[in-house]
Amino acid sequence: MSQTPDILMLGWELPPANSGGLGVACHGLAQSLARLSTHISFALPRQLPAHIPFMDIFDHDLIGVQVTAINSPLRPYRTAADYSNSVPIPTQGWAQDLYQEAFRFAEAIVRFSQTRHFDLVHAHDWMTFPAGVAASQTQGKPFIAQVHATEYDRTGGYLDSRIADIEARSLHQADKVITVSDYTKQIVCDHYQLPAEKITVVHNGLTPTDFQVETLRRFFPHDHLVLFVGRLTFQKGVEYFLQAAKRVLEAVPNTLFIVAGSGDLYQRHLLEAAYLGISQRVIFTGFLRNQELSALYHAADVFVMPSVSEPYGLVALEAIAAGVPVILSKNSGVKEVIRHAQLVDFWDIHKMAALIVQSILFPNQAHQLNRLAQFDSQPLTWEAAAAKTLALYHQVIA
Amino acid sequence: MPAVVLYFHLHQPLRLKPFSLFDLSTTTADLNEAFAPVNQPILHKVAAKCYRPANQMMLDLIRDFPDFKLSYSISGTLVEQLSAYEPDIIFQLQQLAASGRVEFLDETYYHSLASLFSPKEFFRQVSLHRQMIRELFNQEPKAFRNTELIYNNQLAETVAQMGYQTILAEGVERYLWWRSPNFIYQPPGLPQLKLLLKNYRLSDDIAFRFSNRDWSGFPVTADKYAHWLSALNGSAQVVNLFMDYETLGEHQWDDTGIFEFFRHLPAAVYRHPDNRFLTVSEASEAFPIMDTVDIPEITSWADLERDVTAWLGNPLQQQASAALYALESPVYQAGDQNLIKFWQQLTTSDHFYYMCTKWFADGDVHKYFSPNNSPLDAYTYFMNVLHALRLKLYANQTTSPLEANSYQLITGIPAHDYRYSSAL
Repeated sequence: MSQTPDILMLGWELPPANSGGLGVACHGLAQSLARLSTHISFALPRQLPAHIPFMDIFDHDLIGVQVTAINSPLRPYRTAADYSNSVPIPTQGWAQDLYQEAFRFAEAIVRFSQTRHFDLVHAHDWMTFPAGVAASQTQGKPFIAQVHATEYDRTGGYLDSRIADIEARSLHQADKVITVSDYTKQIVCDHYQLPAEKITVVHNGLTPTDFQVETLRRFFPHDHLVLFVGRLTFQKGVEYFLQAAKRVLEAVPNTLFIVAGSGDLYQRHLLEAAYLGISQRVIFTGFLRNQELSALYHAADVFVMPSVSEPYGLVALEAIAAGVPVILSKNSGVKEVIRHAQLVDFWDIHKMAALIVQSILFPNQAHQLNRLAQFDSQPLTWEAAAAKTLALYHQVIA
Repeated sequence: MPAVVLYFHLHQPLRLKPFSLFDLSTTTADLNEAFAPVNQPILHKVAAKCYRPANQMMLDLIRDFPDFKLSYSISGTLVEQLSAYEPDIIFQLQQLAASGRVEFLDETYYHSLASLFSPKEFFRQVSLHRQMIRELFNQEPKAFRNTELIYNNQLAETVAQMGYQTILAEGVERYLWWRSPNFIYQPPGLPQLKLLLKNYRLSDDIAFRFSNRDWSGFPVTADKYAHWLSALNGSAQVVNLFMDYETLGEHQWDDTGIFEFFRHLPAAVYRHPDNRFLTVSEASEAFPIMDTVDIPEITSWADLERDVTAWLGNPLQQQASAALYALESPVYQAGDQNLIKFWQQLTTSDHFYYMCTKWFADGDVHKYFSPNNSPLDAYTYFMNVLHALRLKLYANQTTSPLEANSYQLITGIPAHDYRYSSAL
């Protein structure tokens, strides 16, 4: 074993072309591992132009990491229905459904893996698990599977058995499993019957931002801003946020609720707000990133993460770093590390509303809590996450 | 020998741009920033394809046929845009008005749904329109058409009180029963107000079906159409052909032969003995009132339903319009003319039309007319623009009206004691 292991890392996406937290996490982890002299060859699926049949270099800002785009229509957070709508059938080259596509990606990764040396393959989440397993088995190298979210988180139990099957089999085939929280470790143990000792918890870090933020605050001189950030999917619990909003508005009418994100429930949430009669007090911003998102964080009075099931919850750390008090779902990973946050069951809209009202009426108290939360989040760095991951690499390769 | 009443409606909305929270800073500096840059190129296109050639054709027809007459109404929203960017169209319309054979009707200045929400605002916008017609065309309109032919008994009463002698409405079958739209009617209890009902079959044969190859009537020529009109002889006194002016060249493109059709229509109509064209007001005086038509429900000329669900059918539209009209009193109380005008511009019905989520045949039409990707986007942009308006409205106040009693409600302490520091 060499001191600086060569890692074949498989992910879904990287910023700025990301649609969620997974890309951010992969980016932070890969960058910090590279700083620890780990050789990382990062491969991700990407629909490439017609004249590039197999793979291409991928434009990125990671220093010391080689990133390759593998031709594939796999995209993160895609649903099976969405896949079959957007991929023309009959296809030449593309598989018939999302699951097969994950296995086609695996074939491409095997080809790709034959062209380079690596000591270990490290894959992030289910779409790349078949590829991780295949590369590991054909090349006889160990496989680490990292779980950022399970099918149970995404669907609340109404799972797609094919995806759950991929997760279960891959996690059993992996030499080691990393989860992003104890919360997720527990889900993996409970639902996939994995032995706890096979699982290492590595909490995500937080990449400090240095955006020059022009705060939006001055545009809302009379309103309290309550912020949600996340994809508009079942998992994120926006419907509970809206129901809590209705209750808050009965008590504090000059509160404005901002829903930042896009997703398959966009239409449903718009209509829910309308049915609740609170449309005037709910702003849907669509998907935001970087400066715009930072501006929102800096304008907010309180941040709510009402997730039905949140393996980690990077957005909560971003909010805390921007000085915003947070209210977190008990079903989240981030609550393990942030001790100074208001916690609520995602379904308890009465309590959620009460906590929101409390935060906006007693801002001093809320901001005291935020300062303590900032202390809690200090150890959460990508350096720490990378060190822990590297230790696991050495353990597996040895 | 029915009289043919040709009435065209001219309107182009002032569309909103895809408006996010991050447009607040530019828009609070200049409210006109809320409007889409595409408005001007679209106007330019419609002027070139429809207004300019259509006006010229009508001027020619008036010159060539001494008895050819027609009626128009035009929204203030369009007049303002034309004056700014295509002023020759206004000049053409003035020439038409000066011919003495073109009647201009009144409507709401901003092509709004004000009749459904606020009698006060309705009156304001009709007055504005009246003043505009007087100044531009030197006419005092005696006839009224509400936005999208939105109509019911109550509106008829309001319009009669405002002194109009004629009102237009859709010939909705569920209220006509066995009766034909081809006569003059009156609303219940209002003998002084003539009701002209659109013959939607013959109107839509031109407006919607003209280029439809699957339609049994295709292709429709001026002679064929004049024959259909003549066939009504004995069972009709007027045939009310009401449609968007944009039918000519914009909804039906030039290559469908729509201009040829209209160019030949007068000659074809006059070929049948005793046929003639009348303006809206002439027609309402030329024939006796045949019956009373009772329309308690709100009807319109839109979609298959002929009601107002195209603008107010889903909760998004209902919320958006409620939010808009909730700002009416505060905006007028503030008294800032710019804010009032901006608010009025937001009353334009098209903003709500874009939020329509109806499917099937009607959805196609909505989609064609919408500048937005989806009704949901249209709704989101509109609500964000309302936030911009509210921001301007309450800029100089230390508390918003919403805020006034909220703290007291919860804490029993007056609001200003609990204002948080702006440093946060």
